[in-house]
Amino acid sequence: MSKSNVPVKQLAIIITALFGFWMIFEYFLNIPVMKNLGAEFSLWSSLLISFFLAIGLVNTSTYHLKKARTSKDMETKVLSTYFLALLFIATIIGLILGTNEGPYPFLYNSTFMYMYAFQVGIPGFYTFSAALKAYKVRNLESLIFLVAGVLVLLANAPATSAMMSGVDVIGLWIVDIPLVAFNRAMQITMGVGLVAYCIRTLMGERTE
Amino acid sequence: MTTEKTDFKRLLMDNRVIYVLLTILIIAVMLSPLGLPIKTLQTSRDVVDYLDNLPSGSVVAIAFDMIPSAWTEIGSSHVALAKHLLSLDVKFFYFSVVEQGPMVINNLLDKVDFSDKEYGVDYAIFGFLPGSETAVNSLAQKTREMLVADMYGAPIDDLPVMDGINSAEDVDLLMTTASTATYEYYVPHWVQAYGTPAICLAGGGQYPSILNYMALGLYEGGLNGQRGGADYEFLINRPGNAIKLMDIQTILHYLLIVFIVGSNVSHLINRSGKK
Repeated sequence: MSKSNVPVKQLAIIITALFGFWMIFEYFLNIPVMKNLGAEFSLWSSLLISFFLAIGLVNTSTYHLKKARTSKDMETKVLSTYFLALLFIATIIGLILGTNEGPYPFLYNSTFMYMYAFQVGIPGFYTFSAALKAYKVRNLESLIFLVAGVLVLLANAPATSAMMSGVDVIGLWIVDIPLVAFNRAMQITMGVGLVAYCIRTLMGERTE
Repeated sequence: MTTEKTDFKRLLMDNRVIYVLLTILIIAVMLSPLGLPIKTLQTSRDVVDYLDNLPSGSVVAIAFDMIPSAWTEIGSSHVALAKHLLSLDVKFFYFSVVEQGPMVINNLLDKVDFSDKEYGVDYAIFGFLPGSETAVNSLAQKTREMLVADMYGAPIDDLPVMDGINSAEDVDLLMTTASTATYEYYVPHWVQAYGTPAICLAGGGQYPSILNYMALGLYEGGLNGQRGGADYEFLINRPGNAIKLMDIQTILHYLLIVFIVGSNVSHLINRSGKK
């Protein structure tokens, strides 16, 4: 049996480049045939991503099953077993009883929602203490940083403009003008970098 | 005596003392609100004005791309938005390109009474659409192929609210949620490609990006996190949780300023004392 002349990896790169450049050109060129096919390709990609979610589930389960069976560290075995138990219980409950009513939303809302909110809320305290360290005046630049920060904090406090009119003007100006300008510069920079990265990926160049 | 003074100063600047003080303050203000006034932001007023001026029968698509951690910040905006839409003569439907959106929307359904409107005729709720940006693109180009059935399994053809909605062109307003990066995907695929007007319910961290898009005319308006939610509640005269939390936000902002200024003054005094 003869081997294929085109290595599989090269074939994958060719297919990726073909579809990738098609999607780029269909966005900018108003050609109905390209647009219709591009819309079909987008639909296919949604299907593919659903498959990837399922593959992710299988891969995660395989990894943790192996850890639970073969790991010499008891903590790893217990954590992997616990993870697998939660994963399968939640999946089975969701598949059999549905996710809109019953135990699934109850479990989600009474555990995961609050844990997630806690995880995000706790850094608020650290942000507070970190701000005290960050806003230490050591030179002229840090003094400007401090003044700008205090003005923006004053403007952001909801009661400031209601209780003391005019105090928040400079803070709001800082948010509306310089901050938006810097944000725009960052987005353009990131966009240009992303375009370069995507073109390299589509051309099959190594990106690591 | 010098040792006692140094120990006391060290204690005051200990992070744990600051955390306890913050916790006590937050709980105290939550239990006994101060009723501090607030002044609404112009961007919040723009959002309410735009919705109030929507023609009768307009269709609003709401991208409920919400993760659980964002609910505390942007949830109040969505609750106020839902209440506002229910009071207008418009149709609306929810969808999500974030997998946790359909679970978080249960919180919205618990907090808002939709009984004045008929499901399927005035509003509908669709589930998770996989694919992130490609899903956003597909939804804009082939809405009916993406939204095959709603969250409860009803086919889209059985939902009169979706009659005539074939692409983003048929939607009169898009509301996006900036809890993840998905709010940026709608700009090229909906706003620029189809001219669909869009408004963003943003968290505080994403608000500067929204200002950027608003300056370029790509977003018609935006809400700034919990403050935006409080503004919205105030402007539609339906006070809720967000307004109550504004006292805490104000107090914490001022406390932070006091701490920052105080620590710098103390630092300066120490430095001049050593000289």
